[in-house]
Amino acid sequence: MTLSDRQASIDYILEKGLLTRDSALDKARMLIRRLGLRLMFGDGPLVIVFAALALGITALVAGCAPVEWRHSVAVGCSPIAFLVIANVSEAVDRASRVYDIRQTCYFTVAQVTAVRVMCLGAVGVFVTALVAGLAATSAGDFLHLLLLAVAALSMCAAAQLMIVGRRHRLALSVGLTVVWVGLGLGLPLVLGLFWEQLLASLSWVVAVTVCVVCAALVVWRAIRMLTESRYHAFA
Amino acid sequence: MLSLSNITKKYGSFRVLEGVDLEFTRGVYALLAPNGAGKTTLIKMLTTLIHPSGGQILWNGDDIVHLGASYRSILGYLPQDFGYYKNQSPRKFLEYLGAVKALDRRTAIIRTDRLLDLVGLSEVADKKMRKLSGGMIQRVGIAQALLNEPKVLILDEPTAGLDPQQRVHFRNLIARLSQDRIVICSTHIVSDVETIANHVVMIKDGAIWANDPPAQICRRLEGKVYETSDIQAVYEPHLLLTQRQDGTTTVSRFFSEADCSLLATRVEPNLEDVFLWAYRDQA
Ligand SMILES: Nc1ncnc2c1ncn2[C@@H]1O[C@H](COP(=O)(O)OP(=O)(O)OP(=O)(O)O)[C@@H](O)[C@H]1O
Ligand SMILES: [Mg+2]
Repeated sequence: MTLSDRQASIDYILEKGLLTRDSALDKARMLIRRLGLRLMFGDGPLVIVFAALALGITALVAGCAPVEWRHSVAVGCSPIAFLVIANVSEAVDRASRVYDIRQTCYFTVAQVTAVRVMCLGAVGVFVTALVAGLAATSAGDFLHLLLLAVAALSMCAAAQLMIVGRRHRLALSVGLTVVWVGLGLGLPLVLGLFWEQLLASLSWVVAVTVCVVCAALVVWRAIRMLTESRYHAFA
Repeated sequence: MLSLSNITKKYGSFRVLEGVDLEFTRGVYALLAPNGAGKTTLIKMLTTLIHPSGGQILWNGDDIVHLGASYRSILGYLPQDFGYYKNQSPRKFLEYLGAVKALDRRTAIIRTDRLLDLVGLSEVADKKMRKLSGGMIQRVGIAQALLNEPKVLILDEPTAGLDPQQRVHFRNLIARLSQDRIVICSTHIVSDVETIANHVVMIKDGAIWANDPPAQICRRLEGKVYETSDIQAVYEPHLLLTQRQDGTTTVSRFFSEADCSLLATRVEPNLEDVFLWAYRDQA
């Protein structure tokens, strides 16, 4: 670098000021502080009603299902509450054409979505633990079930965030919920005990790999949405 | 300063705007153009809701898309058909948007109170919005746009649905606000523009047809607008502009390139004349 180049760079920086961007973590923290849980999950009774319904059904199915079907139940049931809550709050967020105003505010709809899915995912792990606990027969069985359930949950979280980051895809993400419930019910019905045995014989290495890959995908996508690196407003 | 350079916007193969260059500094800019001319399209690009097909929009030299949140934090926007949560009260709605605009809770509450007072909605602040009239909702929208004390305030047809009193109130508010910020407002209501705008931006055939103070725009028709009570005097190639009732006679106002001072009275052109003349072939 020549001396004049150097001086030109210094002048440029002094003129512009140093433009520092908030990191994704800073932004997420600020978003949670400003909005709080209430506003983040669609302020209103709708989300609460759906959440209660989904959790109730999950607990009922996990508690009542026959022991020999416990793996199918863990995989099929544990993400349902997550999917229902995520989609209902998303729908509330995008309803009544508030979207345009929201999208021009400091925190965009997509950024709220990113933080919400991460929070829901974290809470979802407890729900899966509950499901696994209700269905398990022993401590070792519990761990295996938990791994399977968390893998299922992280797959759903990754798919949800990939899909719903963009504007016109709410229908698609509602579709995801329907497909998941359909598969959760359909596969055991169609494949019978073969499906159950397949899940039961799945090694923990596979389950952990799925968890890690999907969690990484969620975090990567959330960081992009929060730092607006290319998708900025996700309009 | 907000500047557009060589902005083009296409929807598929349909070209709405082409090669638009504009600069906004302090003051009120009125976007005045007929339906479908591209006002909302231009505004949506300025608010980063849609992206230009070509060209750049810069805020103090930086692309607004790259500025992202730091641009949005100085932006206030009222959409043309603005949505709201019907079951929320204006106060709840504003506090909610305050949070989304990253205001801390205390500031959001204080500003909500002040703004509701400013737009004259203190009395219905806690009523559900589905019980409010159209004009009241519009005022909630105006208040909402001011929550973050924006440096760039963009309003898409803000006076639609306001009664005369509120309209005057709104004009005064805008005049006051424009002291230290950019206000961009789209409208078809010529009388609003004449009183508040420092600059009138007119769009025609996807390009900027005029970008001047109102008085200067009117000067384009200086000496070419006439009034007569004899409608027979208005014939091709004269352009009939408006007609009004004066007692029992109908006074016709028309434009003519040729000198008609023997047939009719020459009058001062106003913005409405210019508007009708500029878009004469787009009936
Ligand atoms: N999403 C879209 N897809 C295709 N064409 C569009 C789209 N949005 C707008 N247009 C077209 O672009 C043109 C400009 O529309 P725009 O909404 O910007 O007009 P406007 O000046 O705001 O009109 P108005 O005064 O009625 O609000 C219109 O011809 C419209 O049909
Ligand atoms: Mg419009």
